[in-house]
Amino acid sequence: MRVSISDKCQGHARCLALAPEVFYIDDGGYGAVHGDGEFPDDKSELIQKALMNCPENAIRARRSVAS
Amino acid sequence: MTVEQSSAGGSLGAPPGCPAHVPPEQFRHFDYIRDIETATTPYDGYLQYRGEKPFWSDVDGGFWVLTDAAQVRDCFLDPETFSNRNIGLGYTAFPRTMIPDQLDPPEHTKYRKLLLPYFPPTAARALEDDIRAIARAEIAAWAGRGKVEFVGQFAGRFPQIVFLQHLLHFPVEEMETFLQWEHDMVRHPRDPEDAKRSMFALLDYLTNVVAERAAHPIENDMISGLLQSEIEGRPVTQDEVIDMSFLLFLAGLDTVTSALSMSFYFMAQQPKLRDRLVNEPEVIAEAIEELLRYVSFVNTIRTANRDIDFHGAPMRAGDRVLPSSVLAARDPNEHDQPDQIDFDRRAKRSLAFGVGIHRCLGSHLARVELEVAFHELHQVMRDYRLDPSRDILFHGAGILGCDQLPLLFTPPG
Repeated sequence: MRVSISDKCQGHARCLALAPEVFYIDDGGYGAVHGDGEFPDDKSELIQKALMNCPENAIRARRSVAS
Repeated sequence: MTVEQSSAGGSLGAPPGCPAHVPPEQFRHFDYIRDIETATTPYDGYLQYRGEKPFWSDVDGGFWVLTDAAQVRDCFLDPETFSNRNIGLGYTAFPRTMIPDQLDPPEHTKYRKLLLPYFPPTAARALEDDIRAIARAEIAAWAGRGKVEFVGQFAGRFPQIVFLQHLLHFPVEEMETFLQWEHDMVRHPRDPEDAKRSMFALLDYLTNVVAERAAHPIENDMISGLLQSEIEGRPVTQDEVIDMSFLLFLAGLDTVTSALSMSFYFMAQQPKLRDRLVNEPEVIAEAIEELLRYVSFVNTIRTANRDIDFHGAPMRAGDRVLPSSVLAARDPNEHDQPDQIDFDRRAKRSLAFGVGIHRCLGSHLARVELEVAFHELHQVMRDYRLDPSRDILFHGAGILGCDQLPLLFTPPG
């Protein structure tokens, strides 16, 4: 699963609270995604939860195309 | 009748005081202070308008009230149309500009960037042990008595001590004075003379503190740090730091108090939920998110920059707008069964801290304070309930809250 955060993020940090393995807050105070933004399917439930709880609708997640 | 009043349908249908651009059927007499204080709970003062189009209230010079989550969200996410230059209905009387809340982009953006690094979740979490020590000391003062006036003896002291000691580095011994200033400006703004006197007292105080810290910086202190920072390649001025500190003072001293007292008011009447907080402390963090939605209490103000037909409200440039976080939080199109408190709700996408560029900077600190308080309180007063022999008092205005909340509980054995 490929996850990214758009510039709509205002640093509420709900994603960090719900899925710390996927998200963190950068030094500027905004949400960011660990590593290259690619996560295994077993994280999709957590990612979905973070997405539903983002007050700014700033999280994007889409299924990776199998190579 | 004056010429400014509505002429729709002749002069007959227009209620007195209804401006010409407001449709008479969207005209209400909503007193955002009195109607709140006389309702059964402050929320009922707002909830009676649920499902209506945005409406115009003629109180305090007139303003639009936004009535659902989509309206509030659209307003907060469009700072070009809805300015922050005025964030109250006149009562805070601040003659200057609170930075960054009363600024619009692009000015707002650079100050916001300056402040954000002081408020990340990690900084709030780093204070957790200190916050816990403060909470425990406060609770220990009354834990053995089996009763507590929850606002005066906890909710109105604990967050203030944290903020004064660890953020502002102001003397906690002067807390009573600080609280008096805060309450005069924010809680009971109907007496403008009190608000004005307290506003000038606070301004004097901050002016002295900022000058003092410019000369003698304190380590790990936000005010000292801001004084040493730069904006657009030039040093931040003392006046700018005063205008930021004024906002921090107002925002930091009363909001967690409301969140705590309103949450405990409802939990004291819902023993099943209360018991869950006692017996399953791991649910507390998400329970707080749900309670923050349910007790949403901030009712700030925006000003329309242009004429706009906004969700059925024909607004004129200069009209003031109250995006009600209460009505957004209880909107059935936003949350299933919005009047139920459900800790297990999957999506807790509340507007309690606002959305968009003015999202509450202190939200992470607020969450840590609330988490610590919930953990500590539910260990000590495990069966708390309302004290039927004493009154509960609420206040309205920009920040809804509780003035008095007497609780009973069985003291720990």
